Amino acid sequence: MVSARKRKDSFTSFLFVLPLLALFLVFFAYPIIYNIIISFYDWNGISVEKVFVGFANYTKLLADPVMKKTFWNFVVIAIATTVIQSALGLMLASFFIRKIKFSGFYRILFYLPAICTSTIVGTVFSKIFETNRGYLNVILRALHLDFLCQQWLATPKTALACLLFVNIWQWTGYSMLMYYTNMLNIPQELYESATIDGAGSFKQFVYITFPLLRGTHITLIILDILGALKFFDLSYVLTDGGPAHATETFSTYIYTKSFNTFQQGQASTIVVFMFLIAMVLTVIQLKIYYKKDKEMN
Amino acid sequence: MKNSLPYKIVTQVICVALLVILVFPLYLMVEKSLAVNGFGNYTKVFEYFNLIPNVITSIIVVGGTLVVVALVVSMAAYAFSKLEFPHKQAVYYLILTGMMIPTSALIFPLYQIVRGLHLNNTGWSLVFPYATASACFNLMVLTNYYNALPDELIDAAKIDGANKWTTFLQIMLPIAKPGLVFVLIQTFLSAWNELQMAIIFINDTTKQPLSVVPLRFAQTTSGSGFTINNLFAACIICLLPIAVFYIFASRQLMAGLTAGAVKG
Repeated sequence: MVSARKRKDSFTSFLFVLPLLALFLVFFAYPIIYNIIISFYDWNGISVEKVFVGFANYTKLLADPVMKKTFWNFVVIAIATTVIQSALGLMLASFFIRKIKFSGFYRILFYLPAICTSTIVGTVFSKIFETNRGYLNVILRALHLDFLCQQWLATPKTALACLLFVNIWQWTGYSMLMYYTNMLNIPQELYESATIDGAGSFKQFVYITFPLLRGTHITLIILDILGALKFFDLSYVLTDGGPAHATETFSTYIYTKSFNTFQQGQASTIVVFMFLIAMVLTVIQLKIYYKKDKEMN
Repeated sequence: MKNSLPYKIVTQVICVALLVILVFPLYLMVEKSLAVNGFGNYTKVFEYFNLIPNVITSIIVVGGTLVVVALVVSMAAYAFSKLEFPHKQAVYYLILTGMMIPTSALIFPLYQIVRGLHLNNTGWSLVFPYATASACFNLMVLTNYYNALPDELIDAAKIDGANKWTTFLQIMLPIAKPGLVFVLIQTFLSAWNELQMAIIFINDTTKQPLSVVPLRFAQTTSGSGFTINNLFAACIICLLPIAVFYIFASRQLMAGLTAGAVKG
């Protein structure tokens, strides 16, 4: 009797979670399983017939130079955004926590690009980086720095750098805000006693602020790597993966394979590849959260 | 701690320099949108495009997503925080993995479903995928929020004879409102700004959400009388709703972040 009631009780509790679990299973779990299965087939995504090919898609992609390029682009985007964005964000947050003049004003304006829609950001920057009448080259010419003028988005070497710039331009405010809010949670007494011990503000930053923000560093690193993995919008809007795959990302490559060249088997294989990287990151992240939960209990 | 004069000067110089870089593109957009013809640039946009279907799509997408997220995530977060059922921890971590799943992994299979249900080219096709993504991303935020609320309230309600649903709806949900508001602000921003799924599920450009329309403007410029000034004016029209929203929501967004809603 008691256990029957208890079972009913935990069933009603489970009903609270059921809608979210159902959404998760239909909209997240199902597509992943679907892609894993399709990755073993040669299929154009349209016809009824699929040909089972085993690991052929995998071996093909491992030998594919574009795939190699895509992977390196992911590594470059991940490292560059993580390092530059975190460093800038941390620096700005450390200014604002010390309440320099106009802090509140700067904080809101620096976050502004993060809310701007990527299609609009892309449109504006495409007019800035444009070769003939683009504002960047116009400004350079006006300053008699003609030798610096470039075909910014049409040259493989500079195209990825431009995309990185725009990405960092857009998301530095987010890193800044994350650092700032977490700095607010560091107990002030630590700084007071450090001051009494004669530690200057630089030392305080190195020995107190930086190590205590460990959780924030990790969260931002994971978010930035994940952002690099998902990278799509700017590449699609500004360069469409080109020139010569210089700005190709997993997402743009999957898009091309699914909807332009109709090689769904290979597209699904890239999805699996991407998913594996994401899962490695997830395991690391969940381990950290789990450890924190344990510490809290 | 007092800041020294050199520190004050150096920090201001850095901030102003960064401000110029960050704000210049936005300034450029505003300035060019008013150049040559002033507000005439804006009226011309409406002569070229009927944006009403785009606005309707945006309202369906964002509104629908907000409703679904509010319902689903507030219930789930409450249960993960305050209720007990078998395998609770495992289910919680399973759903958290949803945060990491890239959109590219979902698009093709979901597009098949959407087309099968004849929902493509409607805002409804995006509501549930967006809601799922946002709910997974924000589950931890709201669960942490509930964790910080005392259990005594639930015990008191139980003694008064309230069942789980009334305890949730009449006692816990009202207290958790600030947490939920923060989650919904984040949901609004992400649902509004999503591009990848939107361009595929709604490939009819006349029906795409307002946030996607600038791509269509950019293609119009070459040839026709639609100038670069019109293009920037059009971009600002599309940016306006989210900018207004940010102005009203920014204080709550900052407050939510500052309260540690996102644990670092």
